[in-house]
Amino acid sequence: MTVDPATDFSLDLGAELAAEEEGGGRATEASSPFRLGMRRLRRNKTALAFGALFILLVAVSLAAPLWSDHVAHKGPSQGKTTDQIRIDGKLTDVVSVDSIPIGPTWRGEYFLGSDESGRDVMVRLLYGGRNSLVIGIFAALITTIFAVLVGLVAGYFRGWVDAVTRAVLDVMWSFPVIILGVALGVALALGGLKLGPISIASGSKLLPLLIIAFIYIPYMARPVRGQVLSLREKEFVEAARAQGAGPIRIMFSELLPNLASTIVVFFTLLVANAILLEAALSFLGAGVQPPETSWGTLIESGVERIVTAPHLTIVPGLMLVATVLALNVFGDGVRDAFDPRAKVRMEH
Amino acid sequence: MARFVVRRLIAMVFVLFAVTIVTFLIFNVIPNGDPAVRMAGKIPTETNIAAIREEWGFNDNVLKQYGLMMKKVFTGDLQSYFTQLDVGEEIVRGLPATLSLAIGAAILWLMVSIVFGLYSAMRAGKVADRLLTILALIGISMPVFWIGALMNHYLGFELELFPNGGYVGLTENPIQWLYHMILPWTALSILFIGFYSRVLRSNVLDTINEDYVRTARAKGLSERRVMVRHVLRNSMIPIITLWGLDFGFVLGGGAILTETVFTLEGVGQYAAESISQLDQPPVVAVTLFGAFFIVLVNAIVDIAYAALDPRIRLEA
Amino acid sequence: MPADALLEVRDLHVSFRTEEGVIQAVDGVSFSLQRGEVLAVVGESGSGKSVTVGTLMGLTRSPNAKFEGEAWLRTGRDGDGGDDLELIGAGDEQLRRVRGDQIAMIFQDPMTSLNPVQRVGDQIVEQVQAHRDLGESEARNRAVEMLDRVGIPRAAERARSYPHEFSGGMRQRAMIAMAFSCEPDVLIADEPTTALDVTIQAQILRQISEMREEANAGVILVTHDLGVVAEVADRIAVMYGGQIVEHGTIDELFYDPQHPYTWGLLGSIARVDRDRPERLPAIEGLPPSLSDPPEGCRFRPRCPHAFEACHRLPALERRGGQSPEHVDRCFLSPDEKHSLREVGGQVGLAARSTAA
Repeated sequence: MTVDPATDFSLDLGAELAAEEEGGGRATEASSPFRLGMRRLRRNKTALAFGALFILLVAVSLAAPLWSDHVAHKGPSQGKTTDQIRIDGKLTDVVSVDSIPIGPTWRGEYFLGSDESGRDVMVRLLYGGRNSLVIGIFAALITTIFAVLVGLVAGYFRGWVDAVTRAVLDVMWSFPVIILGVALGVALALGGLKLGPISIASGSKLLPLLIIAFIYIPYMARPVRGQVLSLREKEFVEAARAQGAGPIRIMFSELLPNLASTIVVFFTLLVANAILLEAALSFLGAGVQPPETSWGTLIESGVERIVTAPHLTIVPGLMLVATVLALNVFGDGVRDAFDPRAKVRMEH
Repeated sequence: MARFVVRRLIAMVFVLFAVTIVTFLIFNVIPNGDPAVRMAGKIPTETNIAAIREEWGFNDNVLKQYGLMMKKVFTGDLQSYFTQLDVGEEIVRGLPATLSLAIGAAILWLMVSIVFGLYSAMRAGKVADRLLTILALIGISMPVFWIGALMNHYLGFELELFPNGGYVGLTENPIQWLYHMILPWTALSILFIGFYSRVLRSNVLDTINEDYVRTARAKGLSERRVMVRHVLRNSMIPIITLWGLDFGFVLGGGAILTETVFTLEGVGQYAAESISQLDQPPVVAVTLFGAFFIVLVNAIVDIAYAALDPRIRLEA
Repeated sequence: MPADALLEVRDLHVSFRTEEGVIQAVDGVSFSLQRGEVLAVVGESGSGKSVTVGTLMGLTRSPNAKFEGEAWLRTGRDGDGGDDLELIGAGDEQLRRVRGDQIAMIFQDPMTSLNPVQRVGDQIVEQVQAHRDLGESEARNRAVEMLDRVGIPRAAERARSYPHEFSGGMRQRAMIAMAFSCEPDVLIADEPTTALDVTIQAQILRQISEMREEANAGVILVTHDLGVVAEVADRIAVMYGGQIVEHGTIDELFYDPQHPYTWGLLGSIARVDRDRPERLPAIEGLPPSLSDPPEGCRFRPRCPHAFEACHRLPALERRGGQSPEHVDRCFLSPDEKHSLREVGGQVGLAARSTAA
């Protein structure tokens, strides 16, 4: 996607020579791998464009209340099957007598049509999108925080701390992601969560958020731990230790900055996967619970009526795909930019 | 090699044991509220709840509960309070469909990924490569249940090119079996093809630059031999591991979504129906067996990897 | 053209188009290789030595590479001048047929240069079967025979081992065995000892020398280490900035070096028979940019003896050397060369700041 056709991939002596040139011949500013990555990323216009698209889609979803109040004049749960609107001067049933809702009108009200209960699809799409995105992004954030902590501690201290951590991660890893999500979703759906001081009610959106965050911890903790294991052998860590730095300082001042590239790359992947997982869980009924919506629940109710009202399935799905795709293209660019091997390979 | 296998299998047993404990924790310990009520499902009745309490030992201590749960699951003494059907039997009934889906899709996506990935790598940087990359990115961005539902509706229902869902046993009617599986296989594979073709492409590009590939060329081997025996063969090794894991994942539960959308009535669909009814016993069983599959497949994959890459045998 | 010249390179130019611009890696290199001789190509990273020999093998061919000049491989297996192949312009298939068969190459790092998941014996068998019409067991016998000849004990057993089960020296011997398996006429060794322990280096060089004698082959030894050169070379070509700056026999170069860069290389060797200098002298400055080379003599920016004439590129020709084949690219007069190259009692390059 981001490869320069002028470079070749067989014996790349030319590239190696140029890389030598760049390294030895001219003065290079001392830059951390992270800063180098950011610079490379900035040169990747495609990735940046899709990154901007993603942010735009997030912003649009977050503006759901604005649309609901000012354009559609309807909330996400408002609507009656007997409502009527004026299209081209004619008064039409929002939901026909044989229960077929209208498709997109491309007007302010019912912009993307109506659902089976007379609710405005666009409004529900935006509110649902808001939920999906908030859950996805925050779950990824929580995962990142915990995974980095776990990875740092396990990788740095090694010994039994590491052994126990690995064992726990391995067991978590043994459950297929969907199954684990579903199991937790089902188990917690009726009564909510009660773990010591933490107590969460059953209908809360916090539940799917935490479940998703929890599930993905091993997926990030492992690479982080691996990197910490190799980093801790490097001289700068020894030097810090010789200076009398304690483990906490070493972990956070020395190791963590070097993990920045890995973290950034994985974070973008995590958000994309979290959004997809939430959609899957909600589709099955083990994620966001009614009356709340998300892209997953919207698709689920859409599929039930796909024969009569395909737009109910297509619309939320397209929105989901567009958002995740934008994120993936951006994430791809991030990976290319922060991958250290890119230096010698000269793709960017 | 034998020592490696033994060590790996022993580790596997430990993990399986841990899995049972975690499952127990998930269903009986972490959640809030009365476990008997939960077990009874969405529409509990008083008699049900009392009976459940006895059977599952909710009046007793945690260890007894764990023991009872395991006993029930493994001896097949598990019944759904919602459907009144025996969980074990239902699972067995759905197995052929799930196996057909998982095995067929896994083979399909592996073959297609190798072709796309290799082609992409060899045309790296050119239009074909960029196009395939875009397709791959779209592939991994689409939820399988969505694309599956659309495929089923438009290709199956509207255009009638394919059957509108459903499963026909292989032994009943091979042709119909195939006919019914094509769409589900395709829908399920799309995501994996997107992912695997790019991993393979990346591996091949890395391998092509390796010193030993340069040596192979310097030896005067034909380009075909260099690409297949040296580049592809070495690029595939990490792919096989991933493939095994994903196969286990699909078999263990990833197929839920596809089965539901295509009404294949496999284990996955059974699980999905139970989920929507918050019917715990089947979900417990499916969770356990899903995890068991993965652990087993994990061990097999590790052993296979050691067989393929002799350097691994020295570690572990 | 001497009668038994195996390889003749004429005015080779190799350039690569990259993100940073066009890199002229090799800029007008000519030399020849005789049967039975070891030609050492010496220079630092970026001098163009690896690209030169890689090009002979066709390993640098790619869409962004451009070649000019010729390289004639005169192996004439039937003895009367047949089988001459021009390597630079040869088709891919022609080149593939002589690669590994008439002209072979060994590389710097035997650990990464051998396929890690293929048994060592199989890798040799593969090469043999690519060029000879031998059955499986015959090819295997040959592989074991070659491993034995390079001094690997219990060759038959070791042939079934993987590269990571060998020690570094053994691995390089295996590479040598593999390279000689089809009895090549030309062997190119690209820094064969750089990745090995000093103690093993001498053994490997001796091995290469022996195999060369047995096969009556010519060897091009690429290295940056003059100590290595002193062990085995017959003639030396010193490369700098993509060009050959001095070319002659080993005695000529060690005892009558003509080019300041050569003086610098010689001066930077630690000598066992002299007192230890305070600092090991290094040549000041950095290698020249290959995409934007200095005007005139490439070494001028780093040369303490540069003068006005050096703004023109000196041609590679005999200037002060004793024999007609001792050529160099330096405008200094023979007398000046004799005096300037003595620094602190031995051959070396004066520091820039102290030069007149």
